[in-house]
Amino acid sequence: MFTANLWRTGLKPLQYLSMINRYTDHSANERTYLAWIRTAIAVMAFGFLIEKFDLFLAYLSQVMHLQAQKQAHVHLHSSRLAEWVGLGLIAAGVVMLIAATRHFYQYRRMIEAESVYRYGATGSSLLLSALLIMVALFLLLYLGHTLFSQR
Amino acid sequence: MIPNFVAQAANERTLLSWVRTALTLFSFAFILGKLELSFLHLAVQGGLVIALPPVSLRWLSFTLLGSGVALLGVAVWRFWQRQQALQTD
Repeated sequence: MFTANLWRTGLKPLQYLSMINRYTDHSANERTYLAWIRTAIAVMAFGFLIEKFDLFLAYLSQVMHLQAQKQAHVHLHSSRLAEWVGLGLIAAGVVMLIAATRHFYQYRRMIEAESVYRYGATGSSLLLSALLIMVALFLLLYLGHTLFSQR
Repeated sequence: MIPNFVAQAANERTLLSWVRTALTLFSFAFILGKLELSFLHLAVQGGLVIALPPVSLRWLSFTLLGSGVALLGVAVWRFWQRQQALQTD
């Protein structure tokens, strides 16, 4: 119905969109902002998983020990280090949200301005990737250590 | 204005999508690794033989972690390449 009305006034949808100056740039900026938010939520969820998954294992460990006290001890609990990594990831998610909001407004101003600016938010994306690679390597060592120290 | 903004932003979003994919892989790998621990616990201390995983979950977990890292590495490299190519000056 919206498009039909535009046709009746003799205005094509594309012309209508071009009335908002650099509309495609602005919407791309918004999509990128939303992508950052989704990624930050994923990072925080991952941090929460690392930090809290051990609660379940600790409970299991306690229940099992009551039933089989004489048997060999199997370590299920995590190191403190894993908990700190989890907390750190949650903090990183918060920082990402703040930085993404800042970038969003910065880009909005740059898009509207008449002078030419350079695109340059590569630092934060590269930093995030580097951080996640380090976390993955930590998990590799951590899981390897806990799994191969069994029995 | 920012030249090539739509393409640059699309490039960044693509990297972010890869990051989320890698994160999902990491979470899955972490759960698998931790579940193997609890399965072992149930089998050894709980005497529940059926709890013993038929396949090695730990290697599956390590493979997932490793492929996540490789995926991220490739994604970062491609992001960088395209970013340089899109830079007009």
